[in-house]
Amino acid sequence: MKITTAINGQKKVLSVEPNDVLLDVLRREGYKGVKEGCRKGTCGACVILLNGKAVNSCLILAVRAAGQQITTIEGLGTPDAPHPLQRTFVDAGAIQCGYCTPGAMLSAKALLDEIPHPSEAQVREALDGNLCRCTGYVKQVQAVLAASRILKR
Amino acid sequence: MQQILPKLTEYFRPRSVATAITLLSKGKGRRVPLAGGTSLALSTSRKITGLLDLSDLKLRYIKESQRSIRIGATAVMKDLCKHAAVDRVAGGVLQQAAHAVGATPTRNLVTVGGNIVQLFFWSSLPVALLALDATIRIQGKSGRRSISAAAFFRSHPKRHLAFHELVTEVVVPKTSSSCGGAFIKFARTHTGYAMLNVACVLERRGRACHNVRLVIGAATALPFRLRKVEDLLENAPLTPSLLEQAKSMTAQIVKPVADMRADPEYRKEVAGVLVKRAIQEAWARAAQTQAVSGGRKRRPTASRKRKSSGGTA
Ligand SMILES: Cc1cc2nc3c(=O)[nH]c(=O)nc-3n(C[C@H](O)[C@H](O)[C@H](O)COP(=O)(O)OP(=O)(O)OC[C@H]3O[C@@H](n4cnc5c(N)ncnc54)[C@H](O)[C@@H]3O)c2cc1C
Repeated sequence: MKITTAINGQKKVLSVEPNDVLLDVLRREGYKGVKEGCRKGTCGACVILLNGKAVNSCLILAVRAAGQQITTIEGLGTPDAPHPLQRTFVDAGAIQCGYCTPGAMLSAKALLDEIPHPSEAQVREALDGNLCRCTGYVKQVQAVLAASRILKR
Repeated sequence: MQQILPKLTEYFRPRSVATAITLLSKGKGRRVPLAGGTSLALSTSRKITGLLDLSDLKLRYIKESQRSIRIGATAVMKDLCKHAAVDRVAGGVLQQAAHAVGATPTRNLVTVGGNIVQLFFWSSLPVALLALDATIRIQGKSGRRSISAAAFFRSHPKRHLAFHELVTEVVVPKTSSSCGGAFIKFARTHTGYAMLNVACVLERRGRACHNVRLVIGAATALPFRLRKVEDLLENAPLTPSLLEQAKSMTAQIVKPVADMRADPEYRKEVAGVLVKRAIQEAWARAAQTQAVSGGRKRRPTASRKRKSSGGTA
C-alpha cells in the first residue's frame, strides 16, 4: 500500500507492506541515521520524532505513519549549520562510537521543544530510553543543558 | 530475524467506535485492535490477519468530572504522567504506575487500553487500577458494559473479552484529601521489567488507617489484593509493630513464581518489605494532602515521582 508522510519537512510517498516496521522502511529510504539496535523498544537507537514526540521506530508499523510528521537525525541541522545539540554533544565529548547519538539527540530535541529550559532531572528522564555503552550519560546530560543555554540566548 | 505478524494483510483506521466494532465482528477474531502497538509490533502471531488502528476513535482523553476521572483507552502513559487531576488521585498512585512503564519513548506510545488488555506478569497499571477500585468500560456488538477492575483482572482480560469488544474507557473514582497512595515498582533499573509491583491506597483518620487496599503484581501471573493484610490494618493505629506484622504476613501469603529475574524466596521477602514501604508512603501522602486543605499550596510532584520508581530494597 501507498502512504504519504512528511519526513524532515518533505512530503514522501512510501510503498509499504502492512507488517513493515517503520525502522526498516526509514532505513530502506536512506535515513541511515535511524539505527537498529535491540528491535524490542529497549535500547532507543531507533528513536525518531513522530509529530514531535520521541518514539521507538522499531515498535511502530509503517502504515501508521500515514499523514504524520516524522523527524530523523538527518532533519537536524546541516554540516555547515549544526543544531545547537549537535554542537554541544561534540563539545562536551558526549559522542564516542556514535551509535546511540541520533536517538539520544532526538530525545533531547523533543524535550527542548517542549521544555526549553529543563532541569537536570528532566534531562535525565528524557534520555532514559537511550542506552549508551561508551561515554555514559553525564556528558550527554551536560550537552543537553548546554544546548538549552544556547537556545536561551 | 523472525517476521512480525506474517499473515497480516489488512489495516483499518476507522473513525468511530461503531465502525471499529463492526470491522472487528466481521474479522471473527482474526482482526485485532491496534493501540500503542508496542506489543503487537513485536508479535509473530500467525492468527492475526488484520489490524484496527484505534488512533482516530477520539479515545485519547482524560476528563475530570465531580466524582471521577475518565480516561480514554488510547490515552498514553505520558498523558497520565503530566495530568494534574490524575496526580491528585490517592497521592498520585496512578501517575506513579504510568511513570513506571518502560522509558520515555515507550511511555509516549503505550496506551491505557493496551496496558490493561495485554496484561503481562509485570504490568504496572493493572496493579494501580485494582488498588483504586477503577471501572473498565467496554463496548461490543451487543452494546456497552462496565465491569470493576477486580472482575476485569480476575482472569486474563484476553480470555474474557470477546473478539468484537473494545475497552473504551477507564473510570477512576476521585479520592478525598485524607486518602493517600503509593505505587512501587521493584526492578533492577528504573526502566527494566518489574520483579515486583506494589500499590497501596488508604484513608487516614486520626492515627488509624481505613479502607486499605493493597495490591501486589509480578509475584504471580495476575495481580491480586492482600485482603488479610488489609484486614489487619483496618481501623488500627499505624504503629511500627503493626507495620512489621503487615510485612511478615505478606511474606507468608505471597506464593511467588520464579523467573530469570528473581526466585520465589527472594520475591517473598522483598514483597514484605515493599508492602511495608508502600503503606508508609501512602500514609505520609495522606498527611500531605490533609495539610493542603489547611491552606498550603501543593508542592510539585516531580521529585516524589522519581523517588518511588525503581529503587532497591
Ligand atoms: C521496552 C518496553 C518496556 C516496557 N516496560 C513496561 C513496564 O515496566 N510496565 C508495564 O506495565 N508495561 C511495560 N511495557 C508495555 C507493555 O509491555 C505493553 O507493550 C503495552 O502495555 C501494550 O500497550 P499498547 O498500547 O502498545 O498495546 P498494543 O500492542 O497496541 O496492544 C496490545 C494488545 O491489547 C489489545 N488492545 C489494545 N487496546 C485495546 C482496547 N482498547 N480494547 C481491546 N483490546 C485492546 C490489542 O489488540 C493487543 O492484543 C513495556 C514495553 C516495552 C516495549
